[in-house]
Order: sequence, then C-alpha cells, then structure tokens
Amino acid sequence: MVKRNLTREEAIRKIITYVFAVIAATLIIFPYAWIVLASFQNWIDAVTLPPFPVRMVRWTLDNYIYNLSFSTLPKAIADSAIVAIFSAIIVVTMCAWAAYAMSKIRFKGRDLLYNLIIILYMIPGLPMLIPIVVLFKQFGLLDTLLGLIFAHGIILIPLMTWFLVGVFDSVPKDLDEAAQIDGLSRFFTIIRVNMPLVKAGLALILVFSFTISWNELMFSNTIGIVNTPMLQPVILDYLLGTRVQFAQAAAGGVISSLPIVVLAYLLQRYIISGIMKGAIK
Amino acid sequence: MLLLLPFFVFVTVLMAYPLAYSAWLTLNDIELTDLKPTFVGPDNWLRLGSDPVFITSATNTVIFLLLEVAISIPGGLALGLLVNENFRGRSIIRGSLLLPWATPPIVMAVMFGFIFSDQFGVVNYMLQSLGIASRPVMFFASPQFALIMLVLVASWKNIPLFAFIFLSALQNIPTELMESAKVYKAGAFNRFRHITFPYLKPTMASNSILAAILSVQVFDVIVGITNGGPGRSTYTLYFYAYLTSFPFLHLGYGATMAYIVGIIAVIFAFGVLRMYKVD
Repeated sequence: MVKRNLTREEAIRKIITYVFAVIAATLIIFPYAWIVLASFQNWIDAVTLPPFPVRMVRWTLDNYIYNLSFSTLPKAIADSAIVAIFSAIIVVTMCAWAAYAMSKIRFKGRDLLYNLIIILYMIPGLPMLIPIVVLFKQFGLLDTLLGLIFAHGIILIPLMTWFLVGVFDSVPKDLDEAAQIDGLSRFFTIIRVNMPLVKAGLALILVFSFTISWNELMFSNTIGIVNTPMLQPVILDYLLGTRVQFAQAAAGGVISSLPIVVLAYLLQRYIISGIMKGAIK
Repeated sequence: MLLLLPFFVFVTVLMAYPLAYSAWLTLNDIELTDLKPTFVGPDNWLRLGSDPVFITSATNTVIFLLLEVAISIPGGLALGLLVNENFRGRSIIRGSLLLPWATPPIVMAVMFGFIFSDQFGVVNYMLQSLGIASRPVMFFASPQFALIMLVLVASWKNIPLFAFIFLSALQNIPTELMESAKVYKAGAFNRFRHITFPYLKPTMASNSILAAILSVQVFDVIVGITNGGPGRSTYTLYFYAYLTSFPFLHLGYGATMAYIVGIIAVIFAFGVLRMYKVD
C-alpha cells in the first residue's frame, strides 16, 4: 500500500517535471530559433504573414552578406572586441591587487571601502556616465577607442572587485601567513602562492568582464558616436530607422551574440559556479 | 602593503570620483554644449515635483520594479526547483539557462520586438489563427500592454539567472532532512513549506535585491523595442534621465534623476533586508 502510494506520487511528479521542462526549454530556445530562421529569410519574407512553416519562403544569405560587407558592423565588431579585451584585461590586472588587499589585509577603512563597492554596484551606470562624458570632453577622449576602454573599465570595477575579493577569500589565509613566515615578500606571496590557486577565478572574471563590455549599449552609444560606433549601437540603428530592418537586425543579432553564446556554452560549468559564488556573498 | 597602495588608491578614486562629481552636478545647471557649471543649489531637486514626465517615469519605474520582483522571483524559484529534479535532458536545460544571461539586451529587443510585433509577429499570427484574438494585439504599441510586456522581456533574462542562484541554495539543503521527512510521510507540499522554503529565504532576499537593481536600470530593451512609447507609457526614470542628459544635454537635471534611480534601488534593498530580518 505504502509502496503504491509512493510510486503514484513519484509518477505525478515525473509527469509535471517533464511538462514544465518542455515549456521552459521552449520559452528559452524559441526566441533564438526564431531570429536565426528570420536571419536567413529574404527581408520581405521575414516581415510577411503567415510565417515560415505555414508559407514557403526564399532562403538567402543576403542579410549576413549585407551585415558583413555593406554596413559598419565589421568595424564595430573589431572595435568592440578591442574595447572588451583591453578593458577586461586592465580591470582584472588592476582590481586583483586591490581585491587581494581587501581580502587578506586588515586595515583602517577596509569595511568602509567594501560597503562603498557594494553601494556602487547598486547605483546604476548613468550617474557615472555623466561625469565621464564631461571629463572626456575636456580631455578629448570622446569618440575614441581609448575613451571607450576607460569608460567600460570604470563600469566594470565595482562588480569585478567585489567578485575578486570573493575569489581571494577562497584561498586560506594560513597559506599567506606560512609564506610570510618563510620569508617570502608580499609581492612573491601574491605571485607564487595566490595566483596559481585563483587562476580559474581570474579567467572567469575576464570572461564576465568581456561579456559585459561586449553587450553594453548605453556607454558605447554615448561615447562612441561618429568615429567609433560600437557593436550594440549599430544593431540598435537597424531598429530605430524609418523602416525597421528586422531581417538585417536578426542577422546582426545572431553575429553579435555568437561569440558570447559560444563562450558561455564552453565555460558553462565555471560560469555557473562563478555566478553562484558571487551571488551567495 | 606599500606595494598595493597605488592600485588601491587608483581603484578607489576611479570609483568614487565620478560618483562624487555627479553628486555635485545635481546642484548645478550644466549643459553639455558649454560645460560651465552654474551653481543653482537644490533647484534641480525642487524642479522634480512639478515635472509631470518625472512623475510618470517614477511611477513606471516603481511599477516595473514591483512587477519584475513579483514575476521573476516565483518564476526563478519554480525554474530552480525544476532543474533540481532528476530527469532526462536536465543538463541540456541547465546549459540553456545561460543563453538569456549571455544574450546582448539589444538582441533581445530584436527578438521580442519581432515575435510580438502587431504587424508581422508570430504570436499575433497564432492568436488569430487559433481564434483567440480577432485582430492583432498591440503588445508593444498600446499603453495598457507595453510596460508589462517589457517586464516580461526583462524576466526572460532574469528568471534563468535567479533559477541558478536558487539551484545552488537548493543543493545546500541537507538530503538527510528530506529523506527523514519522507520516512515520516510528509507530503510534497509540507516538505516544501517546512524544509525547502526556510532554507531558501536568504536567497530570496538576495535575489529580490538583485531583481530591483537590474530592473531600475533596464534601458536597452526599452530603447530597442518601444523607445518610451506609445506616448510616454514606457518612460522609466532611467530612460528619462538618459534622454534629459544626452539628446537634451541638461546634465545637472539628468544626474539628479539618475541619483533618484539609485535611491529607489537602495530603499527597496533596505526594505527587503528589513523584512527578512523581522521574519
């Protein structure tokens, strides 16, 4: 009797699980599948009803060809990649030292600084963007790649320092103390003892930083205007014109999310544990 | 320690200086064209009360925040519980949960603007061919639906993220507790209420705060899909503050509103922490 009840509960549970799993998978994957399909359709077919499975459409690579040879997208991809790579590397190499100090050394004002980082993380980007634009205008950094690298660096600092403190917290403090007793200087303690242990964490934070910079719109759109249009603003332009170019936007969107999605897929295990570590803190 | 000092000062200055500078700008009248700040005292702050667009935008922001929390926290919890179950294909779903997180928000705007379009959207096509709607539903083109649709778009990105975070909390629940509850024949609902739920409370608080932070600064999908319209029905404070600062070049007033966005998020965060402590 008991056994039969249990199997019944488990059976119901199993059915509910599968139903919801199918719904969840559909909701997540359908929007993607749909723009991938749209990106291969003739632009007029993409905006004509009934849609594809009901009505046959002309398949074409035109949208990709348009994006890669007749628009500013290729330059925007190169520029965005440069900005994302450099801002990620600069932020991680700079913040790592500060994060190490916050994690391992008790000093005056440490808690204050830690709270400042968390408050800065809560405060959205715009109050940072306004003074950045004012300063950049004075120093001639507006509309330059250097300015964009700098601006993305500033957005990334609070969040990444916060993550990095968590990364260094995972290295036991005893190791540092042992190294110091053995006469290793602070610099070599960091390089020889800590770095090998936090390599994976640092790599993950590089990927996070790259993703945030690559996907960023507001700062990119405001700072890189004429000479350095960035990737996301170029796609936004397809949507804001007098005639919305959905098929071209779809192809541009597929191109722009491809590197991030591939990166996320390859590193999913590490990203998952990284998000969790960051979120639990 | 001396070695670390320069990095330290540099990082702190890079973070704190822009913020302090824009706090100063809220007390000034400054235009992007000439960049000469004129001190006006609290004028920018006082002006807010008589600006009808500010009132609309602030209301929309609060509605957005509350709806987003109300949708994405239960949604994330449900999805987290789902991927905590054992079933075939679980790893595929766990892997695909990362897709929305990695998707550039502008690409989300392309996807959802396209799928829910009132002229050529597949959702409207299905609703009409199934006879549910007699004419196209103006998902993004009517004041009644546009804001809630944007909340749903934001949830598409947030729910899987929160599901991950809930999942990690769920995996920390000791299995012996569940097993012994099963031995004593506690039903699924009671097991959830008395074991799972209490364990998840801190995660719920942190996820709610994260949801608030993310939803007050939604920008990309608004610009990409509705651009504030129809009328001003999808103006949020963040969006209005951006418009004031950049196309219209009133940096002082824009900075003031941008600060209020931050204040709303911080108030909500403290409210959540308080609720969580009182319980």
